[in-house]
Amino acid sequence: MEHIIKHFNIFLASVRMEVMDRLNDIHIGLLIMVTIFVQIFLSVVFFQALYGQTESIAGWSLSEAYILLGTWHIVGDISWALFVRGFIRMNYYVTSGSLDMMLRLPMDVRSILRYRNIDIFLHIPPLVVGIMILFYGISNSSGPVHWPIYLCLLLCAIVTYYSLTVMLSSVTFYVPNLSINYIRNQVLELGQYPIAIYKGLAKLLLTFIIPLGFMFTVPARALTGNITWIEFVQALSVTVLFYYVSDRVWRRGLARYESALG
Amino acid sequence: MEKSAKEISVKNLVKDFEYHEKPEGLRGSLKALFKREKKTKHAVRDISFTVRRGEFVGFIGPNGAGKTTTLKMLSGILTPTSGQARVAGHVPWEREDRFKKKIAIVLGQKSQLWNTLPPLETYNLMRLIYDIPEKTYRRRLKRLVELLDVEDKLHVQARKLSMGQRMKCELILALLHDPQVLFLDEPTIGLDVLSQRKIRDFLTSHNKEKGTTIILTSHNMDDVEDLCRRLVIIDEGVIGYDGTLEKIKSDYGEYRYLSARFGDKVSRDALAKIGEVLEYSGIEARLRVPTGDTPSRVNKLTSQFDVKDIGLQDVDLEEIVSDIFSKSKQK
Repeated sequence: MEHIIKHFNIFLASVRMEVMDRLNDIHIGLLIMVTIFVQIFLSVVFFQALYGQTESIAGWSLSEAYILLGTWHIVGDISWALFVRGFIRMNYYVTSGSLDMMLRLPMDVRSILRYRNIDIFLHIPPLVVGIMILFYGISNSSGPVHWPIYLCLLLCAIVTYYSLTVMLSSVTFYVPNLSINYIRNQVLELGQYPIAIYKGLAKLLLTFIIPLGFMFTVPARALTGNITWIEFVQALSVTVLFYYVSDRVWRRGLARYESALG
Repeated sequence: MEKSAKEISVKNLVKDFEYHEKPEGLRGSLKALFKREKKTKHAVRDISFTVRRGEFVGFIGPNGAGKTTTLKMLSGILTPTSGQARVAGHVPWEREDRFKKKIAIVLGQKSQLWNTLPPLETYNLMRLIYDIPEKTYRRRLKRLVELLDVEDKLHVQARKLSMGQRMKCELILALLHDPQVLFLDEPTIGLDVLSQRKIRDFLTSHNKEKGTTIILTSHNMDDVEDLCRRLVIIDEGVIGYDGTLEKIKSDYGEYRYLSARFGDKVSRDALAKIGEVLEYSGIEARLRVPTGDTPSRVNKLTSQFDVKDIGLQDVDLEEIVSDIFSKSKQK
């Protein structure tokens, strides 16, 4: 319990510092926020255009697609708000040796990366828009809504997002000059579409190797009424498995850390 | 606390870094695509030493000697290739939180402060990370701020601080959790003389008051002479000397400097019979004389010339150290 309270206090202090930091350069923050809103707007326009041609894609109606899109935004924005920024800066931290200063602190360096780079200020507004898209989808959908299951799967999706981010940033320990952030972002973009639209190898890849299906499609199905217990259990298992693997990969990578020579 | 207890013990510590060498030019780059020459840099080669609790040790050597690498291994940042070390009762590279709470490291060229926020905000975050009770934190902060004279800088954005002010704030940050062992890597680099003096005074009093074990690396020999009673000289990853400051001066200080001002103009040739003339202006001169024969040389000088003023100076540490480095290179 003490441990949780400590982390909660550090989290609050980090949020406070991040907000103060953002307010120092408010114009940059607002510019980034506008970019995020444009991206959301373009996604909605794209879905409207697509569903202007047909009533359903791979069994998903427009309102169901909005539930998926809302889920994708909620998971993405919470992840960005809480931890992504720290891990995508790993390249810089490793090549400049800045990770040294994090390693000396009496806390897991992943926690330091998360707290040092919290980004709540920028991601709360888009998160609200994501929730609005989700509720718009639900209000036009007729299926039964399973909120407890959805919230549980949403948590699993955020944990898996975290595991994937940690795993990919661990590559930096092996190849310090390689930035795979662009590829990471491009692959995660695919999660806003139902996994059913992919076939064969691509579907297999996006289900088990990069488990976008379990991260976005399965939680959305809890609100469209199509989820099965098997999918629910599979999603939980994938979450545990990915968390375990990411922890191993991170620890192995960190043991190789050689700082910047000096 | 028992002062003679070993705080740091290092045995046969080795750190190798692997790197690739690429031949020159575009052809070299293309060739490297298929065949890369793997090389090993032996940053630290089989070093052993111990440091007693409360000692203030100077760890000196030229660039690339292995000082910072050793400090990084002892603070748990780097894992050694082989060898053993214990710092404050822990194996550093196991990176236990209990160990991290007992040590602190200040790297002169790397900041730990949150750049865009005032130092006070970073201090408050560290209070939570290190589990420092609020009252203790306030008391320690007050003491450190007063000693380092930065009361008016706590609310200024870290990036707006001068280098001296910043280093003082970095020191406060490192000492808030009252570490048993403090590693300092070039803490006065780039600072003006006044700031250097202030930081040296502070470190001396902190070491005395708190009994903190301190290892300092610095290229600034004034730092080392003022602060450290013991020196470990490292070059190319090997310890070349380990002993007290006095001993190194008596072992290696074969000469002393004799400065004199004369009533009348004296000849350079006459002075050369007393010692090696380093500087000469007719009525002023600076000579180098053997340490063991200094009294008789002084006698000769005062009896043969009309000496108005005389000064005697030991050979400075910088010269001794560079002498040791060049001897080790010749070997």
